[in-house]
Amino acid sequence: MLFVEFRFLAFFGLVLAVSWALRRNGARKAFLLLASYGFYAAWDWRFLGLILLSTLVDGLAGQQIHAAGDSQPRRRAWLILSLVVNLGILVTFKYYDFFAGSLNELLTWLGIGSSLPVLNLVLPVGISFYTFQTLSYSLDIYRRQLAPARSPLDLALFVAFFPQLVAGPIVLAKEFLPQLAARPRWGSVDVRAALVLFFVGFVKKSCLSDTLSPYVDAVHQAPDAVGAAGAWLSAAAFAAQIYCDFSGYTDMAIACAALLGYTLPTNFRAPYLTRSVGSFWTHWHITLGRWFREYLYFPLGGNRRGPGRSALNLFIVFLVSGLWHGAAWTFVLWGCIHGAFVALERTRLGGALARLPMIPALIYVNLVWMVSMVIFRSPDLEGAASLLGAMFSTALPPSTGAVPIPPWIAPVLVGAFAVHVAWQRAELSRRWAALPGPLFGLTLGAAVGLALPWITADPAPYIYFAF
Amino acid sequence: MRAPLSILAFGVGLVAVNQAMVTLAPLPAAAGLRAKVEFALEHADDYDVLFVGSSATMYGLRPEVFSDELERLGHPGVRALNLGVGGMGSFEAAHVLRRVLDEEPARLAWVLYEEPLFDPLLWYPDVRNPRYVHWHDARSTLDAIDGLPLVEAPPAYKQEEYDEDWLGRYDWRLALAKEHLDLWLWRASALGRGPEIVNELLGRAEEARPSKEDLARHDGWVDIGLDAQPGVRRAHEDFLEKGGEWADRLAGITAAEAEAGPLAGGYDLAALESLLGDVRAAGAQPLLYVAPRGLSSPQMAALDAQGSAGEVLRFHLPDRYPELNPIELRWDFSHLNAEGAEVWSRLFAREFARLLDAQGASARKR
Repeated sequence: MLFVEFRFLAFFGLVLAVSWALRRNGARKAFLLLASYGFYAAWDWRFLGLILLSTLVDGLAGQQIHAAGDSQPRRRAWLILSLVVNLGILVTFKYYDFFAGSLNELLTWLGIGSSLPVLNLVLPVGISFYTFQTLSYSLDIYRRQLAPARSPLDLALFVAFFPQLVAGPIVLAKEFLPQLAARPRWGSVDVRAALVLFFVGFVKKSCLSDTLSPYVDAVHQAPDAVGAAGAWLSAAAFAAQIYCDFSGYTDMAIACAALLGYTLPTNFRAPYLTRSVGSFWTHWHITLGRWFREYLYFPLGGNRRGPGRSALNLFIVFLVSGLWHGAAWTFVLWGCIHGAFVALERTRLGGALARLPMIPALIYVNLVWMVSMVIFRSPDLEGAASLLGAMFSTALPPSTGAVPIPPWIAPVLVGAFAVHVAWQRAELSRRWAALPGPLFGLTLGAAVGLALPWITADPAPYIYFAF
Repeated sequence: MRAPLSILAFGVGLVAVNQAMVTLAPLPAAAGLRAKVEFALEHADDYDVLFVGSSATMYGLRPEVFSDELERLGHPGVRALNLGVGGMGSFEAAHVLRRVLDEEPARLAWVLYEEPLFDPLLWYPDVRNPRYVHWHDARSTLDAIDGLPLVEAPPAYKQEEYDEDWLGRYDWRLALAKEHLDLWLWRASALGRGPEIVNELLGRAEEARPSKEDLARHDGWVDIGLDAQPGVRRAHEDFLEKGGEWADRLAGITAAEAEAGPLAGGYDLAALESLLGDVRAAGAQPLLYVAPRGLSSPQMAALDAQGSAGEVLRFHLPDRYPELNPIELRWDFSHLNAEGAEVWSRLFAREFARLLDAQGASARKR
């Protein structure tokens, strides 16, 4: 069930009405939990067991870590149990086949016959997101930054809360659990801001991302059928597509949560307007960067052990971040490229880059992003090499069979740029929501009417659902 | 008070802009639909007679020959327009005809309508194709849903899909009704039409074929021999290979028609009466016909026998109209070639004149 489907709108309308009709906080949370499980079951009910297992293990681990008081070995043992179970599930479902396949290839190449079994497991939707959320719960209790959840219901709802369950933002337990202590008040919900945010997210995903998607898909399916112009246009289109897809989803997630009375963290702040790759990562998928900073970069030593170690730590974080996005060498390479650039920016070269005027700096960041995203999007390294070759080639596209450039791609790219810049920099959402009621209603209705023709017949799954 | 006012304002803004978008969304260009409908709407006042039907009509009826023959038979000055469109079924044809009738065409005296079967099944796998979407206005959608109880079974290849639908588990017709409502929603909101609207506004829309000049030259008739569509060529090549089967096919029609029973409960008489009523309300007279498509039509035989829609001219009957049987007159199993179209057009004019004379009626408004 995608946020842009009509059945989700019906589902959410029902959940919204019932949740606000329930006067007792406990009943409301129980209902939201059931709704969340129902939402997930609409994808694949079989994987609900993984969410329940993760919730049970972290509930138990959190209690035991807290109860162990000053007994460090006991605290560590329970934390390890949480890490083993959560990361074990993630590794089994997401990475086992990748590592087994890669090892088989390596051993075969070395002449040592090997046939580790490949399991062909289906990747449970959202596993990377909720695993990181539940880990934050155990880790924060271990670091004495959080008390265990007041009830199993709170913990279960934190893990499964449907607006952010399958594609984030990655919420930390310490910022969400306190919100469950009391029933939210409808009067404190900024309905207009939430409606605007939902609408903007809807437009980004359904009208812009899904419209760009067929062209990008066509180019990546036939990288040899484009010339340099087509390849660069496809790279720009994918940069716009993935931004609209992912930030659109999180906009809708934040808006849905807000309408239910809860606050989710911001995940994007005009990343394409940043002036360094390091800064980019504090504006793109902010909650993932925050998670890695808190639970990987700092434990590795952060920047406390000198510039060299800091650069290495950053590189490790981006390598892991690449793997978090997917179990393939394309993601590993993509993570390494970003790690290298971020580490490089910590050197003297970074100082020179920081002094660049705005336009060259923007070009630098966006070039790194667009080129690296060709690798990210490609099904394998060969496909990426083909398309990158086309981008930097002077050869003309083939005279027959070339992927045609749709005439409407320019207005859609302009629309994506406008959404990116205008909404986030000019705070148009806030200004729109502040209009007098009837004028707000009239303009929102007109905007919806304008957006409807751009909704595609078959919405593509969110790109980040695959992670 | 502010919240209801805001909601009302939302509705007003939504409907106003959405209707503008629906108006801007072009008709599907496929099979000449857009070109022919736009031509018919622009020239609604120029014609006395309108042929409405499928590709059998589009390729098979030559208005200028029809008019010449009528003049020879004592009905001079009749102008006819061929509004046949490839693949146009009854509901789509009724929708197109109603769009023309809404223009209140001043001269229109007769609507000659091909084989109104009113089949509410959605046969194409791609249900949201533009051809299906465009005719699903509120009325046509309700008419199609109304007709569902009369249908015995869905297309075989869709049975499983309907059985798996949450509504289809109760009755496959509910799943089909949902598809019709879905198509209505897509039409009413111009969903998914953005790229077409932009192309239209930028003047980059797919060129409508046939051209308006060609349509004006032949009053809507299209020479199948000059139609460049690959499907048209393939059908011709197939016919050249299997032309020997033509005689068997004609024999099959005769046999099937002989066995045709009375008009069964499975025919949507209400939809037909509604359509005929609309034609009469526009000041025109309806006349139904079956094209020589090489297929039998037991329902039209029954309708003809019942008489509630007047005489049905059944040109597909090989014994009644042997002039249309020669294989040399055919392009493929379903369509006449240009010479065949000339023969059928004269034959049609003769039958039409016979009916006019019998009724003391005129082919033109008095």
